[in-house]
Amino acid sequence: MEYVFKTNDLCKKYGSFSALTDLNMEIPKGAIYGFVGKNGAGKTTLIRLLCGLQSPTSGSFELMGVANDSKNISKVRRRLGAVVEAPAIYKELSARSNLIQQCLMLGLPDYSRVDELLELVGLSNTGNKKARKFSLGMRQRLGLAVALCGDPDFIILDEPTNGLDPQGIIEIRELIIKLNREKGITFLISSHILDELARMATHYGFIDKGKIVRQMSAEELRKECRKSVRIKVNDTSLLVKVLEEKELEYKVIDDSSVDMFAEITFSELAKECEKVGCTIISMEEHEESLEAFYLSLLGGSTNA
Amino acid sequence: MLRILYSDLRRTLVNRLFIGCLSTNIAYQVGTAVLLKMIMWFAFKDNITGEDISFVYSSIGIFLVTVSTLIIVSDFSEGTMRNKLISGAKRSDVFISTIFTSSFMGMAQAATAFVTESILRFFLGGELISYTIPELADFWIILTLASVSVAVFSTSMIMMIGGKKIAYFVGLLIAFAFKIISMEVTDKLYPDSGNVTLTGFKLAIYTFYDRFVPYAYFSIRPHWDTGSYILGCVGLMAISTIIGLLVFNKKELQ
Repeated sequence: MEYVFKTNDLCKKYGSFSALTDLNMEIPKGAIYGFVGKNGAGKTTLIRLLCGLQSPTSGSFELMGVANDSKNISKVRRRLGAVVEAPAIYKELSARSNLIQQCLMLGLPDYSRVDELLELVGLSNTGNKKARKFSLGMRQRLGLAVALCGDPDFIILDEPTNGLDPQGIIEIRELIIKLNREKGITFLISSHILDELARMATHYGFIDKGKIVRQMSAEELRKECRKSVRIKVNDTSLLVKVLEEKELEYKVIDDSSVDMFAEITFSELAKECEKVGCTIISMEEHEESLEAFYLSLLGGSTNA
Repeated sequence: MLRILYSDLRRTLVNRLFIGCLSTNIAYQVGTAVLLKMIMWFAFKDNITGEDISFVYSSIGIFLVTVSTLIIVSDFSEGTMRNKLISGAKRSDVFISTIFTSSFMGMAQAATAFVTESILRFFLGGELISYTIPELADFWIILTLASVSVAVFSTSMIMMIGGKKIAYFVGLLIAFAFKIISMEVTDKLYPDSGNVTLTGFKLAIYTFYDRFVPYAYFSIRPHWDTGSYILGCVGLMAISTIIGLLVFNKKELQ
């Protein structure tokens, strides 16, 4: 598999504090990589290293096949677009002028793409309005347009839906999916809105305390988060006995609950349980969300 | 590097802070010259001299140039400095481009002041008393160089400090500190009455500051040879650029 970004035992220390510890991760080409972790887990530190804003303490990474200490790393970064923390825009300039500014900076002689990009992010009707007067959502869209100026192969978005209204969230999500599918742009998206991330990510990386806890594809996650029937009983050992006999897949959750991954009629199961003296208290369809999976993986609060 | 410089200059020309500083420059000179003219006319029935008008910029130049360069702080806080690096620009290119842009700001302030004072001298009729036109031209060349070197020094400081809010404070504090030191040096080296009382090492330090530190060129009328002034300006620019570049290349940006 071809990777646009790959790290090798990457470490970053700030004094005695280790922000990243022997971090290993890979972002496959063409993926929408959902980057999930608590505040202070190391997400932004990794993005800063990737973008060349900071240097690793030890370890290395490859960006589009070029090592971080190579002389060509600056050239490769021209194929990169990013909205890190806050959108990088000149507040005294209009949306159009901001994009022209980015074109100039990238040495692009043709500004014809500017209007196309404004249309794409829904800012074509802002005229001479200064970015200072834009709402947070409009700034976010402009930041994305700036990142798209150089026709990048890899885009890093830190909280892309921050400040957007529901309609804006849908538009940005659709835009990301469209760019990924039609132009093959790889995305690294760090987001706190896990359910939103679940709607577009093709791959996930879970980071905690500076380490990648787990990487998986959306398919693998779907299997982990598949639908089940959660059965609450007075004695799980008796229910397990029934499920074993019927060769049904299950997972014991706690002393009174079991998740069953099979389709079976309630009456049939109830009959079998009654035979062994197991009382069913409740049965309900259950689907584990990305948020629940995240919590089970990392533990703690939903401070993703 | 040229593409970054071009985009930086384009942005500077529409920046409100920069335009505001240029406007303040003109307004201050016009206001001061008209006020002086009125005082001289009504109080002494006399006219102002050309020198009175020409040296108005000296008293405010340091602050105007320093404040103009504070645009760069917003480059850090708005993330546009970060964006340049993300977009593949080399740190040295970004730094040098910023230095050139701030040099332009310094030059623009001095040029605006020169044009304004020329127009004011023409309209308010201030005759030159103790300076010839070539001497005045020399003075303006030195003042322009001094403005550029102050801009370069201030910019290097900001690039080293980064986008922290303290950069605004430090920039203005340095300008104030140098203004006060310059007044002290001028007062001691060129007393209004009596002789210079400084001796030995202290005299050498004060003389060095007066001769080779561009911040001092704003507080006095020229006393030294043009070569010393050029050496002072070029020296400050070179030292600021080299140290600033070394620090910025290693700096961890947010």
